[in-house]
Amino acid sequence: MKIYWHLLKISFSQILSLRFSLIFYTLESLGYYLIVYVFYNSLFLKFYVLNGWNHSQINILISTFFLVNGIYSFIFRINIDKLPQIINDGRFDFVLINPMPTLIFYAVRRVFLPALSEVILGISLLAWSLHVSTEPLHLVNLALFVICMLNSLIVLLGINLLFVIPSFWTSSKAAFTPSFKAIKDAARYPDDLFPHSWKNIFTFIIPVALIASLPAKLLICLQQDILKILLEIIVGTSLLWGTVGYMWRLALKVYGSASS
Amino acid sequence: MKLTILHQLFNVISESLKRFQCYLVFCIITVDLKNLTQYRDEFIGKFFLSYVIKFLIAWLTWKQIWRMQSSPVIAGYSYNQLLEYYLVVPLVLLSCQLSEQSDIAEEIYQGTFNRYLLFPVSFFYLRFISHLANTFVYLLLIVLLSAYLNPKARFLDLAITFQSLLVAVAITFLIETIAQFMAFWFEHSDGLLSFIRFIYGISAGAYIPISFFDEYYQSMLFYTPFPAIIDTPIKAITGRLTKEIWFQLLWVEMFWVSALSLLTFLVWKNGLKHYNAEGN
Repeated sequence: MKIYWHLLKISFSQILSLRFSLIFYTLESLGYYLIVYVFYNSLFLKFYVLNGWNHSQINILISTFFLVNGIYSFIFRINIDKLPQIINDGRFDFVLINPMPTLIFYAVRRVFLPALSEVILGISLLAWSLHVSTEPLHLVNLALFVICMLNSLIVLLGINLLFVIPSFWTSSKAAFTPSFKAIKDAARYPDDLFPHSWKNIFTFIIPVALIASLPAKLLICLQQDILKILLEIIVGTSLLWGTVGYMWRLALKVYGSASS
Repeated sequence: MKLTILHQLFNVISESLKRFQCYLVFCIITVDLKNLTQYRDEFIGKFFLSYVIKFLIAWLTWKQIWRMQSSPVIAGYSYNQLLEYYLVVPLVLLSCQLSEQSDIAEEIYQGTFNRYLLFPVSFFYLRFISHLANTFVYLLLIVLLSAYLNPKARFLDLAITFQSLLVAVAITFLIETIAQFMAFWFEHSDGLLSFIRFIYGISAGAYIPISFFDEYYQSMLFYTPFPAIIDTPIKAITGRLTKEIWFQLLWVEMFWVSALSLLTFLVWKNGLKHYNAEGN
């Protein structure tokens, strides 16, 4: 914890020295969320119900997505985005010789301060969406939602790693990061919007539905079958991390310093 | 006699210089294409896979949205036309945006920008040619896609498509170059570039077509450089751009290319006064 506290202090001082970029990153994040929000609201002016999801339920879904994405960007994003570059120029050696578990140390070593605004916006929007929602709110559901949201962070990290780990085998500086950003967008939509076969793919193979859609379902009691949702979340997360863990171990064996 | 020899000598030198310029262009394009083929996996990851995923998600979501509504057309787009739109958007965007190799801001910050000042050719000329070489593959794909989407296209339509794409590339190049030149004054201006990309992304129709916006905003956007980046080229590629509208847009585009060129030049001139070539 002491090491992490020092890493946190270093990354805060680094980003505060780059105030010009900080302002524009914050504006961009807020603008992006505004556009997603306006997009959904304009759809609802036309359709009222989106495959069983009403307006207030969708508001809860996108607030959940904003919050998970915000926390993820704050803690992990900048580290994982830089991983391909660090692997290719050999700086990954310094990560390997650290006295902490490699993946954990690497994933949390620097925070991305501009994402703090996304977290604040996510919390505010979620509170507002719950306040105006007509759905009954139970404490059990709220507790389950918080646990699943923490799980969402692990899922998002797993999916991101799935697209970044191939850089151990390639000479790419960005690996498949743009593809991760593209697939992450699917998490903004309710899983019921996709056809059944695609819904299964997005739950068990590339589990983007676990990021916001399934946790939001727990909160709004869209489906009474809470056990089924929890089971889907557990199976999806286990399958994802089983694959990521296997790929990571394999990648560490392949890594040959700057020549990899 | 002496004058004739001097005249001939001048001709030989100017011809050599001209050849040198052409050879330089050829070299830049060759080197950039070699880089592209060298980093094939990057090309596949950056372009192909993300392109497929983006289109897949757009297809799956719009398919469901279309099922829920009674009218076959939304904001002037049928379902197939909207899919065509999402098929072309990533290509146009990739062909316009400066690549990561063209990170002028980072070069100013590191001090490696000096080399451009010592080159025997203009910085802008070099960067624009290099940018065109980087986007060569995407432009080629757009031409192929254009032939598929608009098979009845005549020579004039192809010329309009080519002109629209060239303007799109030029406007984006100028906007992004100005944003990167901010590094002359501020350390790490990448946040600004990212923000500008987001702003023109929305206003140009990278997320949803401009015709989905309110009519008031559409008429406002008409006089900005943004529609020329994505909306106009896509309309030209898919054969939805009438000649009347193209002619009206041409004046607006010409104005913005001139204004942005002037602004880029002014920023460059003033920025160089602040540049100390030390690196950080």
